[in-house]
Amino acid sequence: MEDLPSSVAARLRELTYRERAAAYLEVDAGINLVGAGGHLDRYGLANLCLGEPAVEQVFFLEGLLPLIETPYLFPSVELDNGCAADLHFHLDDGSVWVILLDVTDSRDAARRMQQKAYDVTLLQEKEALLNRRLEAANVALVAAQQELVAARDAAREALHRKQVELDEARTLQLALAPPPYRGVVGRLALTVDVILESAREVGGDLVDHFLVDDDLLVLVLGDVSDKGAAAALMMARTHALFRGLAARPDASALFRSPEQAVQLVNAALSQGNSSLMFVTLLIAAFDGKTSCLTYVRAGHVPPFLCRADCTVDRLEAAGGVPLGVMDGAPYESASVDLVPGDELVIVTDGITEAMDRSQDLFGDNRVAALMARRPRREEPLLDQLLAQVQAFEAGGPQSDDIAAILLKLEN
Amino acid sequence: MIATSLQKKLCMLGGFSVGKTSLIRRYVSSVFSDSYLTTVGVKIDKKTVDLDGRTVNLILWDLAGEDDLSSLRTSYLRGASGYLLVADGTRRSTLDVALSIQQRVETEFGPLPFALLLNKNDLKDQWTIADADVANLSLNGWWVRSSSARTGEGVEEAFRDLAIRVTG
Repeated sequence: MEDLPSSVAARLRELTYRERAAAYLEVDAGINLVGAGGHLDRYGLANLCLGEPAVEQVFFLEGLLPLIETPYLFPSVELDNGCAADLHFHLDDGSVWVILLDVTDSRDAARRMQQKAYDVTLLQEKEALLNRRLEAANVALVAAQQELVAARDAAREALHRKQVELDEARTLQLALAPPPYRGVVGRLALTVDVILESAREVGGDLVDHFLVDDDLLVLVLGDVSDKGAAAALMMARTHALFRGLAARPDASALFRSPEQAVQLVNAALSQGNSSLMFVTLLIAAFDGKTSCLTYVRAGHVPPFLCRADCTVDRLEAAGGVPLGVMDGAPYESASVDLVPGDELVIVTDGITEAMDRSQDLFGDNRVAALMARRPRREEPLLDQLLAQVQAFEAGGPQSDDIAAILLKLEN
Repeated sequence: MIATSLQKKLCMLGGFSVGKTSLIRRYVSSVFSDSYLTTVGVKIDKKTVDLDGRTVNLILWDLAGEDDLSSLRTSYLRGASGYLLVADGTRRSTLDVALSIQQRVETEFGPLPFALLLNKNDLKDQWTIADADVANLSLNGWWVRSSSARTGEGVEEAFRDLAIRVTG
């Protein structure tokens, strides 16, 4: 300091002592406070007792004395009154001297800078964390999407397989419906037409006709409860049972009294029918020698008989319970004589109970009316009937399986 | 005549913004503030406690948090009887900082009593420190505690445990 001009030295003393609020403590070898001075009040050290233990009065000295390194600096120490000081320790002549210089302003400036830097860093850390979570969520989403795509493809494949199987089943089922018949039975020329339209790929309606001997034509029309694959299997089973009876040596006797055939099929269908499915059925056996039609109606829609004079009768006799409901249920047959020009139409309720948009039914009367007064007699009756039903449903989805048989005795 | 009493210097160490200052404010003044004010240098507080009939002055040195640019000034630890390492449970990197600080302190000052506080336990839904990491540290003999300066959970217990150990 003695090298400095007196003005500079004075200014330095001013800067250090007054503006940085210099203060000092002197601690002797016994760790007693033996001297203190300067701006002690700035640091909350105004009421010190000289000659008393130092650490109890100046608690930041705890653990620091005796001094093991000199000089020693603790920079920017904030005391309990909020003031920040650089603490300069040095050893001289057996005493430890502590010089306190106020750095509160520079500490506050550094804090502002530091604060901004930390705020930015914390934001960056949060952003990075968010990005990692988004990345993880994205990975999980991609994995989930891949699983969904795989599941969708598997479902499509399974659906395609089932569709192929159903198409095959439909082909097989339609093959069970025989083609139209044109021929002579006994001494009468007659024709048989059929229609079979399933509401789904496969259906539960049964259409069949076959000859037993040369003079007995058997017509079978059934309707299995419910629709779809289960109904189709029940239909196929019923079809097979009747065809099995037709192959028996006593088939002629069985079908000339068709209630016998019905009882046998009912017994077979009733056994083990845990799903309680049933079949309404109309079986009719036309004897070409006697022109007599013998029929059994097992819970089925009564057939329509249009005479040559265009009057329409319903064959409502010979009612019984549907097949498969009750083992040993009794069935009876009824008979009616036919003459050339007569037309017999047997339908399932897919026709009579077809609904329009107003939930109205197609009904029996529309069938009878068509038979009695159809405008284009040259067109096949069943084609016209089907067209009327479809028009009645007005392009909506078909609600039930549709099947019908037409027996026409030629003039 | 000034009566002498037992005094112990304890330090708070850890990364920046882990809650060291908030833990001391909660312990000394029973208050918490959401506003974050970074510590520059060191802040000294005093808390007088009663440990089984003994009055002990705990001199608490709250050191500035360590970051990428300014490493811990270990000179502040001179004369410390023990320390609390603090990590922020929602920031996994602060546990690594705490582990690093512990190694440097032990190298320079030897095996001082310490405890690790996983702070901000009130934000458990944002926790990023795995239970397995904590279990491994406990297996190695570390005192690991969860704490929340916001709710006060585990704060008093942590300081008291350490005070008992350093005055043992």
